[in-house]
Amino acid sequence: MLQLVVDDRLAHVLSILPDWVGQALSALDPLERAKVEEIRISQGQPLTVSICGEDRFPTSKGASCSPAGGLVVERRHLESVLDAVTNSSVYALEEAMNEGYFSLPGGHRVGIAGQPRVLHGEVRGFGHIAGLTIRINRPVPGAGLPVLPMLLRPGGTIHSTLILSPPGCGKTTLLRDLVRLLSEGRRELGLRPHRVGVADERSEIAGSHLGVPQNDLGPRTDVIDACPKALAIPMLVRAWRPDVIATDEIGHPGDARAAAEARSAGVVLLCTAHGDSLKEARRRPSLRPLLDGGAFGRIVLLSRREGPGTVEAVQKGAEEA
Amino acid sequence: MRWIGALAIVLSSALLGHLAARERERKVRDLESLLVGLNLLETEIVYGLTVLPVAMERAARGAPGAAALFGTAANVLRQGRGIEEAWRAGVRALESRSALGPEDLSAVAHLAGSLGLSSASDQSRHLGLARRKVETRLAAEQGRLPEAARLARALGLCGGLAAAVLLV
Repeated sequence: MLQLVVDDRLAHVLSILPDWVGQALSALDPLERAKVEEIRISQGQPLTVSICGEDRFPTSKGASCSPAGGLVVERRHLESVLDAVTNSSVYALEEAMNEGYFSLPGGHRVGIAGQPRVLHGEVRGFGHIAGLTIRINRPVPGAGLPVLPMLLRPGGTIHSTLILSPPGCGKTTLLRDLVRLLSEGRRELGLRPHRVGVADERSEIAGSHLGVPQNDLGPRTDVIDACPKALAIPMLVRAWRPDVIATDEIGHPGDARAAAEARSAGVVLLCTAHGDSLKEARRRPSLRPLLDGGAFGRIVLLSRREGPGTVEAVQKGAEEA
Repeated sequence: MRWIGALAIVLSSALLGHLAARERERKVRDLESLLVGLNLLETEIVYGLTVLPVAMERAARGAPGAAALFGTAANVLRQGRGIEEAWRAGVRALESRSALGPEDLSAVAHLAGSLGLSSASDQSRHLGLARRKVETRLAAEQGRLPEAARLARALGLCGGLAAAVLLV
């Protein structure tokens, strides 16, 4: 289980949100605040925070386990949050919103619920937004240390690795710390420093603001921020000659193609994907060519069994020499 | 003494006429500047996908004559107040610091309900509509300007002369 660092990332999120959210959450005690994973703001529903995977409903007397007495979110509440998180600039997030979520400065993710406009089978913005879920980005330095020895290979480098888990199990947190560790190197483990390129399409790994990473990713890491992975990965390979390319949530066939090309160029991959198991991941048309083609030498399976970041298994992949 | 008084009346009246003409000219310049600002804002939104506070700051720098509108709106947005309130504050600031009146700014004021809240193509349509209305207003003012300015100056001078003749 990952150890949460008691920093108040929540304060950063609250500084972006309208005052009423901060006032509603002021009843939480400092330990609870440090463990808030999500804030859910849905019209007609009580304001909800998720703490260690369990829902709590802020009331004037603290965080209650029951929705009764919680602050019910009205339309004006939701609009004020939308105005704040989009910087009054919905158009600037249009592309990301078509995926159902976007990122805030600092890498916090905002998921959107409501009624999307669908044109020719593709989402073209949201006609009505009914709810927002803000997932707090909280780096956990050291999260990668238990896993790292199992990823090492001779020569002071690592196997190409895929981190698999259902949502909310700490994939991005683990990936972020592995990037930092690879970039710094670990002499005691025989790991040499690596040049790492990060294709950070949703700004969740580096938490970039105006292109500048806000999270510590090590001294030899270059980030291409807010750019589709299928475009960012070839750019990194051509321009930065990285030893390792890290990217989050490989899902589209274009992402997988770009990753496979980088792998064939001799770059080590460090990727995450949604999935309960390797078997399930193999069923996905975009992942199967990567998995069967030997792109990954190690598969890390995560769960929330003992809290986010529980390492269930590290399996051998079919990596080619 | 009477002659000096008459001369003062003529000069004052001519000056008033001149100031009235300058106000008409200033209105045209302010409309031109507003148009430049709206163009810049549209470019930042549609092609740069720049967030509104930054886009407005850039529009304020590029269109000094309409800086009160864009600069004030950007400041209010930075304080965390909504776009509607920010834009209305900007329109009020421009109205108080320029030669433009409510009728000149009505099309721009209407943007308060739509700015920033939809896709880039929608934003382009809203801004384009406001811009066309400002262009129409500008064309009308420019058409009237030479005659109106001449008339104001002539009326000022003639009015002063008439008053002076009566006095002397």
